[in-house]
Amino acid sequence: MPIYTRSYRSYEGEVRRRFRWWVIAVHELRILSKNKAFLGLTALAGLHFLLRVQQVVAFDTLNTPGQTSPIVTLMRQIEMFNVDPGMFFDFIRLQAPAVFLVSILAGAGMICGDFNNNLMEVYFSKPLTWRDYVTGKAMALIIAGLCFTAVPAVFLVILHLLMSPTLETFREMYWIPVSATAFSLVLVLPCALGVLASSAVSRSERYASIAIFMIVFGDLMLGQLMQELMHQRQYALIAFPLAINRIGESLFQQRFQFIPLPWHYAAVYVGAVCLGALAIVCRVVRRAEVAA
Amino acid sequence: MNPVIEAHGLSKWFGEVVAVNNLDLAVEPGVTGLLGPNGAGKSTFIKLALGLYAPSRGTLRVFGEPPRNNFNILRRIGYCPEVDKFYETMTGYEFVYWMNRFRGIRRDIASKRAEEACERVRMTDRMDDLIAEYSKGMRQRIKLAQALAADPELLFLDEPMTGLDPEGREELFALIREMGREGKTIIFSTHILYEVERATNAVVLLYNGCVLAQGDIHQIRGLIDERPHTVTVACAVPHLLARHFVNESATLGMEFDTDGPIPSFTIRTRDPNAFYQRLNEAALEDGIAIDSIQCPDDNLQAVFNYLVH
Repeated sequence: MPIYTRSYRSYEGEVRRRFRWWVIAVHELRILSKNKAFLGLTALAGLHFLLRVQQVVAFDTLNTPGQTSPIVTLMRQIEMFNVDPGMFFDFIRLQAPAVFLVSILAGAGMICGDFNNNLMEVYFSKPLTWRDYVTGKAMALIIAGLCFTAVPAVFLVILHLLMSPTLETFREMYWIPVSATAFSLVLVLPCALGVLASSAVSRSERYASIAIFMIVFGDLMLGQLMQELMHQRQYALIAFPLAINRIGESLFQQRFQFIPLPWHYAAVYVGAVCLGALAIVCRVVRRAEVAA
Repeated sequence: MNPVIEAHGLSKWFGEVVAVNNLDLAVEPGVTGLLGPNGAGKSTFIKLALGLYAPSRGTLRVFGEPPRNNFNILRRIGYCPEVDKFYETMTGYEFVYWMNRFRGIRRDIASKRAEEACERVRMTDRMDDLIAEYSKGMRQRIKLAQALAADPELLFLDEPMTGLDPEGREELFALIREMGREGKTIIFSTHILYEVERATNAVVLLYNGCVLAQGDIHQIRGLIDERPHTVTVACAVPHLLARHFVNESATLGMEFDTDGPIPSFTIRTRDPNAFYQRLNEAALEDGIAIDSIQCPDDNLQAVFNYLVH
């Protein structure tokens, strides 16, 4: 008897109503994990992390009440050896180049590659929507970025708390994981969405990478130039990386170092860039879903 | 039997370009060839049926429901696109596996199905090699494997024979026919008439976005009454046999070929059924042995030419 007269065999797939994007994110992360340049960057970022681990261990080991050796006294006086909110801010801030490079490495070819290889119609002939597609791609970059920033930062906080389990340390540090996660997101989100937007409007991975590099460095230089020309440091806000750092300063309760403006100016700027990039990605992908 | 795909007044245009124009179509289970020259609207129709395009006008139902953004329908459809550039850094197996995962199939089942699909398209030996190292034919097979892997009830194959060697084509023809016999619905598009004839008699002829004809290719030919049917009869004494048809009102013309290894005559007639009946009687009357009977215009090429021109 033909199959169609019996009823078809039951579909063995999960009926996923939510988180369909997860498979796309995992798929992209697997591709990224096989990339040698990514592994090299991870090793570099890992070195930085290991140095910070040593710093935390050294600080907590030496910074005990009975220690009076000259080295300990010297270390206590050098600010950069201290384990305080500023250290966590610096740690994440210094991971920014790695996050930027990883985002480019993983994201520059994400959308234009799918366009070039006509994979859009393959994706959208499956039970996936453009929202799943965009979320999956963006989440892959966000997860990769957070693995370089928030995850090690939170690990450092936990290590510090374990090494120095006093109520005072906890009182000083309990909010750091939240701030570290928030600052990491402020750093990772624009990177991920910016690179995806560049990929969406570019024809190739190479063009997308060059475009995003030029935008970031052009913007940085413009900020510096405006600052010099106008003799006002507020103009440094134009430089996007400095705007991100300004938010980080507030999140980690640090004093002004980059831009003498309230943090919400920087937040509006970063938010606008994220929304703009997201709008570009959504527009391009949505159009692709219709005309895949 | 309910049609698997039903289109009523289906149109799709892109700006001023009309890709599909007022299609009325019903596709039943089995193998159907979607035939037409480049730009006829074959791929557009497939993409409409996959829900990738929204119809500009008219309705389209797949398994009784509109396919666009309809996950219940999409899960039952397999699609083998025309292009074969995929993730070059993946192995064939990984590609099929991840396509299964995108469908929402569980990890263990996706893996099992990917292996089965690779086996079905004879790619087991090479499934762990990178796609970048595949030949055109292997890419075609792995693309087909991803479409088959989820065991879909409805399968769209867009130009599936492209790049396949003769052996691969034979295997694919056999696979298509086998799946058709299982009761699945397979719609494959092509502009090569020979490919359709090898796989099925059920065709949809598209031209400039319109359906020229739909159904069994021989029945369609039979309905084109204004065109005479051509029959070539080979026998030792063609003149003797041909004289029986000279005075028939349905006979429009005759040609003799006595130069070939077997002499023959070709007759153009308005009534092929009456001709065949009379041919049997004449051969018996004169005791003439007929070597072969051929109908050079009872094929897809002829039908297509008649309908288009």
